[in-house]
Amino acid sequence: MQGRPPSVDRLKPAVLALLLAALITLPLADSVFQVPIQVSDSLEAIVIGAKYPSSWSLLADSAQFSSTTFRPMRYQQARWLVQGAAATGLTYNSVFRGVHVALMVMLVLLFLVAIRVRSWIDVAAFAVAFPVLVGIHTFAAMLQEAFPVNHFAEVGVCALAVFVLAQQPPRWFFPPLMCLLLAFALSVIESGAMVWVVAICCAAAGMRGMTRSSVVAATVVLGVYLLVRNALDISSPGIGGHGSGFGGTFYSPEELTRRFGAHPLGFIAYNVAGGLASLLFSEPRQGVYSLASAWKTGGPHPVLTINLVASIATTALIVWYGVTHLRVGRAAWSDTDRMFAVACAVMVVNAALNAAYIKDEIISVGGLFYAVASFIAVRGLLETIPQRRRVASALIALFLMTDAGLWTFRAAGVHYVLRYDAFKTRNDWIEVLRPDKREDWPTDPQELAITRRIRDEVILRSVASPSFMPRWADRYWVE
Amino acid sequence: MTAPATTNPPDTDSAIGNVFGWAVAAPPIAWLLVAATLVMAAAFGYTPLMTPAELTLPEAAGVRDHLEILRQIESGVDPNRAERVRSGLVRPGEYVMTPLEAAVASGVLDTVQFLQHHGARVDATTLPGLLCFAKQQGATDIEAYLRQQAPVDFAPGCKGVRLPWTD
Repeated sequence: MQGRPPSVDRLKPAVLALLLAALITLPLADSVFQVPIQVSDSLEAIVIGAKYPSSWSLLADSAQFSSTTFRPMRYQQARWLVQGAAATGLTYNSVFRGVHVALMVMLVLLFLVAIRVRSWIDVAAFAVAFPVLVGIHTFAAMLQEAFPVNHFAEVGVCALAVFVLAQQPPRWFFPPLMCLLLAFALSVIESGAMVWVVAICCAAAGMRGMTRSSVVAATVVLGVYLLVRNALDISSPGIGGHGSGFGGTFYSPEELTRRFGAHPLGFIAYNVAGGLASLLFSEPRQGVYSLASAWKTGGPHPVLTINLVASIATTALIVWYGVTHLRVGRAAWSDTDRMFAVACAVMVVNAALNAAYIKDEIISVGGLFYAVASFIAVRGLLETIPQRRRVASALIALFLMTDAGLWTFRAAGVHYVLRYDAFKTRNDWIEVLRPDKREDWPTDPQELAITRRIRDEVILRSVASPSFMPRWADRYWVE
Repeated sequence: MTAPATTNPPDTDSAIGNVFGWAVAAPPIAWLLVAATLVMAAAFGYTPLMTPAELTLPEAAGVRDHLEILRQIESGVDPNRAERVRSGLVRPGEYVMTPLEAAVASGVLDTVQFLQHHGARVDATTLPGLLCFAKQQGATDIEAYLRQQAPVDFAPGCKGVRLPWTD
């Protein structure tokens, strides 16, 4: 490699990784785009956002739409996107689904920037970690639903952006930029607090771009947010605010209140531990351990086995890396070790957000950092190959290839899950503006016009029926 | 004599690294190849994972695609017209049947009700065939529902009734 600057040598692996990511992401973008605008969670927000006479009045009123949530930007975004559709002449579906695709692409790009592929070993590690990023159940959760914009994906973008900034040498604009990202994330959903968590973890790990001023500024933003919530008398949803699983059963909010309302501590501990276990082992899902009921159904479902084996193998690698690299003490950590420590800390703190109930979306930021940690761990293992015997090297390659194969299979399943979702979401619209139930139609002409327009767009949208998809896929990709 | 238990000599590191690197990268590359094949196939009109564009109304009923049913009916397709149902959708072999018959064949009561709400006829001319077909298919909930639709004095007999298939 003599005669060429090192930057050129670094460029080729980076370009290959970008190409690989693009080729995998583009078809995925198509699958995300195929999912129509949802009726539940989306239609109401779009209609409310569009009906308000001005952005200011919407912003002021939306602060008090709910006694447990403070999400002013949720409605504001919907309003802007409706206006964007009117200004560009695009369909509502194109605009709203296009934003979802853009968020997914941003997540992928930020992941690429965060892990910094520079060598061929990095490319090999990327080949394992990228399917982890796409295949982990928390990533699919960011793609499946929209409210009408997926706020968890927005939080993921903001969290990864802060993580990327923390890797750079400090600049004057980092603190205001981080505050902006945090404020935006907090204004769309409560999980936006994960952006602050990432900032604190980066500072604690000693990442160079996370200065004291950034931490103080971000903490002030979080403090102001909490004060505003308090002033508006907005409480956090407690146990019973949402359905969640316990053991092998999923319970409704009412059942949860009855079972755990009086003594919630045990259930909270279960949820926090379950959230972390879900990230590390893909079990439980929504608080339900499918393994617990597998003995009743004559053995675990194939999808459960695949997810469990893939996650256990990757988590084992992450644990190996942590044990071998982090025990030397923070002062001796490399930049990569600091990134790894942040990724692990974010996963643990993210699990704590599941205190009231477990949901894949809540741990979606943790899922992104799980992929970051897996990249670092795989690269760490690959770097040891030259010092190992050939048999050991071959076994490591075989192990990684199997793990990558399982994650790739999981990632390919995201297409199936999204197409299935597209079919389901499209069919939900048959209940909207039913000719035989005119009494249920909106009375407001503007609301009726928007609802009709979205419905007409959805009806014309072509989606794949599960009947034309492989029958075996349910057993291997749908939980 | 035992073989020397050494690590990989430096001159082979690169070659081994390449082989192992490609081995690790093989699964996502295989995925890419499969995806690329599907994209190329789609460019030539072969779309194995998509609903065919020219789905007939009975086919839409057979695969329980309610919104497609709605789309076709709203665009003027007759909900009572018998049309082709391709092989493999409701059973092996191609058949000509009405949307309601296809819905009965698929065994989903919701689809039968949905079609009825959108203009498919369940009356004295169609009931005997549908009832007998539901009975033959073992679709007990559909059979019970259709019986509720029949007049009190309605006594269907399956003799002489034409069914999409009899086996």
